[in-house]
Amino acid sequence: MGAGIGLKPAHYRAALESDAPGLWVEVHPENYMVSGGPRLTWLDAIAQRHPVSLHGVSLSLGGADRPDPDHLKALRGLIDRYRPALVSEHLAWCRYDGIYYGDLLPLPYTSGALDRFCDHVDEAQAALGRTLLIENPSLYVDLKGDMMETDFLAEAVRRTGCGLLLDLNNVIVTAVNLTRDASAYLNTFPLDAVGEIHLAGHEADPDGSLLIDTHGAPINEAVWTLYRETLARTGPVPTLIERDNNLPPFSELMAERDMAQAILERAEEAALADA
Amino acid sequence: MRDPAFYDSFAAMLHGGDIVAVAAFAGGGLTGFPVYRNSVVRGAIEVLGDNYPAVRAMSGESNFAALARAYWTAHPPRDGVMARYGSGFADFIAAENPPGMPDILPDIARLDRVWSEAHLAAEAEILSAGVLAGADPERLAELTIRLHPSVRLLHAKRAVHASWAAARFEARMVPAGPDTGETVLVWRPSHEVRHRALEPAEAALLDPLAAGIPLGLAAERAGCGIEVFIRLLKDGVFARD
Repeated sequence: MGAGIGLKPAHYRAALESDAPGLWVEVHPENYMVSGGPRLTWLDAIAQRHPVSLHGVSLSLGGADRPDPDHLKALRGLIDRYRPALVSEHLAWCRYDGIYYGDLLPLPYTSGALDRFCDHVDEAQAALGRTLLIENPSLYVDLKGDMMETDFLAEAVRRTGCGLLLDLNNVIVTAVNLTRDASAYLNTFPLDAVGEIHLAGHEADPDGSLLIDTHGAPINEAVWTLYRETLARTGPVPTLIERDNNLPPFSELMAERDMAQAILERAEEAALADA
Repeated sequence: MRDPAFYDSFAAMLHGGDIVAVAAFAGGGLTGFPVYRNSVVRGAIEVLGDNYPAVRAMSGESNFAALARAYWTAHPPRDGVMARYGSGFADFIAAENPPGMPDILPDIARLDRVWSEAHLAAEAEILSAGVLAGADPERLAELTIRLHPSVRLLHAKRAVHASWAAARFEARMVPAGPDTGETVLVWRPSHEVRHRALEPAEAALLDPLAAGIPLGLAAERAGCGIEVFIRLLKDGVFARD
């Protein structure tokens, strides 16, 4: 797996027909928890040609409540159907008291929250029969806690055996919004556990004080720089171009993907030269 | 520890409550809290609009956003499968009867809904005309015919199909037809969802067939000939067992 793209229905045919080396696709499994129809038919065909990653957005592992057993069952069904190369979720919550909020909400990094999060990851991994990669969030508020996010993630990795999905756009967005240093964050991030990297674009909110993780713009130069720096330390890691809004034509998205692929290939050569 | 105080106060803020309670959990500035609230509400409006494109087109963006926000307040999503969100939207519109909106809007919403249902319905092999060719007419009359799992029928008081299709697929407004009733068939015989207003005889035949009544008796009740059945058969409305 080299550099992949978030798969959107508008790009089904082009993705199916693409023979770009290293290409893989990522989907939100929630969009495929349906009885039948063209979505499943397209993904069936695409999965024959390219590796697939399932990137969940609604397990609410950082929530107050245990993961929804029906949702886990539906996700397990998709895992059995598509045999995804990667399965991931978020350090966030999105469901509370029977309501699904459709957004990745922050949690305080406390020891109580860590215990609960690890219980939820354990339960999900057992039900899914798979190791999950957990993604670092983009944050807009700084919540009181008793540990750093990177410590929280490192401890979750140690206790549950989960891996990590390092979203470099989220690192930048959070660093700007909470006035922190992105490099310092990466210096304490458990890079050994990283099984996937996300690259995406962000935009300033209308009053300009915060960066918003919109996935609606081309990847920013700061994110590309951080990507090169990260790969120099991790070696090549499957990398995804995540674009959900203002979807460009397939060729434009693939141009960004090809750039990531080229950076990955150089990282691979460097790793071989070091070996 | 379930730590409900944090989640309760955060959720209350998302629902439009003030940020005083959740602010107790903040270690820095508070300007980010509305970002979450806006994103949650805007996300729900977008999802509902994606699921109800004809309602959105017919209402206009700002009217639709107000309606969708009111719907979210009363009926937020219960699970993460967004294609399912909005199952009660048509009834909500009918009950709210928003001023300045066309009176056919609830049926427009019902058609958007059945389009989604047909789009995502289970697969089944289509009953082809060839399978029945040469069948003994008496045996044919005794057959109970299963409708394809994607088939949805909407009985509307006014003729709304043309208005719905124009709004949904061309963002074009077409006045509703007469108050004489109309049955619309929405189904997915292959990969694409199809839709058409039925002739009265077709609707009269499909209803009893859908209820499991054998073909002969259903045709008798509908007062229609075999050609009506053949037309529906060729359209791929029936499933092979």
